[in-house]
Amino acid sequence: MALTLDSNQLVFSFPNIHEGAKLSIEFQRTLRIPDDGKTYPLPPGFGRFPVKHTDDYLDKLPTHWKEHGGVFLPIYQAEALWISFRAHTPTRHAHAYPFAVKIGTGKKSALTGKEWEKGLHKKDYCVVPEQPWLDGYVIEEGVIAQFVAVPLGQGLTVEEQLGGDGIGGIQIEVFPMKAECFERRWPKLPPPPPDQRLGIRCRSLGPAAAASNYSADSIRLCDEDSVGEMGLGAGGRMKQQVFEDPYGKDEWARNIDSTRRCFVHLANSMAWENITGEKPPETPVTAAAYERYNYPWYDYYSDDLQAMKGGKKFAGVKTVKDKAAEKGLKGVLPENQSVQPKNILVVPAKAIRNGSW
Amino acid sequence: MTFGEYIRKLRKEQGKSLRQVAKQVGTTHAYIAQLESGKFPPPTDPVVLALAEELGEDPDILMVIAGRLPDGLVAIIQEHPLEFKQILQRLKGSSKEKLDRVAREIRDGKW
Repeated sequence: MALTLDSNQLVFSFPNIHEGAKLSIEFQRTLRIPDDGKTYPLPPGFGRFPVKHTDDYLDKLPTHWKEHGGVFLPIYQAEALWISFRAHTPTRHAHAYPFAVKIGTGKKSALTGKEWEKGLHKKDYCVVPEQPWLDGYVIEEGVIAQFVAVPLGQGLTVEEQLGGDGIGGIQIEVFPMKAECFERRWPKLPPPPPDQRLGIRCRSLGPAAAASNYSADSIRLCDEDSVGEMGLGAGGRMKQQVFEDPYGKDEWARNIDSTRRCFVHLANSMAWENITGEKPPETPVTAAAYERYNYPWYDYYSDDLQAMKGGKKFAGVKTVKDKAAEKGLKGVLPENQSVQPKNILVVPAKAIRNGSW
Repeated sequence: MTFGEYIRKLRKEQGKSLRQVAKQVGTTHAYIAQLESGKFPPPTDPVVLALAEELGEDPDILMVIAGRLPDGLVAIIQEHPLEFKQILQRLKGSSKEKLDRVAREIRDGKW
């Protein structure tokens, strides 16, 4: 098994399990939906966040980042992100190789709100390729609270509200399906002609659609000698189903030689430049400006798969806006005007399950 | 790049003379000169290792350039010879960028 970085994507490979067991995970830049109590459709992606090895900058990073290993990416305060999963389709198979994927923020499950634990536990993982994207915390059935970056230490992150230590970042652990289960479900076939393959509508518009729109003074700068560690808070409500495991826990390879995990640190964008010498991406467009151009939003659903009900632990978690108001913090969530999305593209899950990536 | 060319490149980069290198390795400057010009084949393992030490090169790298597999690498390959053969065949002709990506694992730490 191996975990590498390829064009800002994490690439998990498990040749010890199956030669085609390969999963790419990327972090997409996106607009922050308004935190106004309304439930929004899925926003677009504006391209991948740049990602670097922590090992390449150990002399400029905090000691605990060295201990955690993994990678880091730049993110502005109040910037949102979503996580994209892409399972590769092995040669001569008509289905992408499935993976169980755990996602945590500050070592709390983004799906249940529970403490991060080794191994797979009930409903603390999603299944790829059925789940192509994850945009936030699963707070209700079919509804998530968007991932929004906030500084650690102010009590705004979900992990801090759930009693965490303020470890920050995103944690990922990947479990491939057992090879015998994959081959039993989807035996080797002749490859289908390319014109019979269904494509997936791409949700990423790329960086061109992400014109800078935050006012400069709305981006809080961190201390120059700090990496400006960020965590994730709960942003606005968004319609997104996070599906339960349709295969069953016994289908996953779960011994220690079969899983791989990664700690993704979040550095304040301004500190990123001090660390790497590279400019961070431009600040993303606001929801209001995006809507003015009538760009598309997305609605991804499945009638066949069971969506998770939402973590009970999230019941007491406040959104970044509400928590900042409670603490008397100003300017935490700039440019939060409500919008009314009109151009909504519907993406049925079947198009992905039957299709090729 | 041949073994001799590689040795000459390392020696020049470090500004060392033929005599200096020969003295440290325990041979003659004429032999090193012939080696660099390709008139002699790569030397025995002890001389390759002595050259690596003198020229500050990874001994495993210099052994491979001399056309031999260091014992440590042989032991690794012997654990899964078929898989390593397939991996090397698959990577044949790959760009340096691709090889860098393959070689660079993301480290997982304690958390």
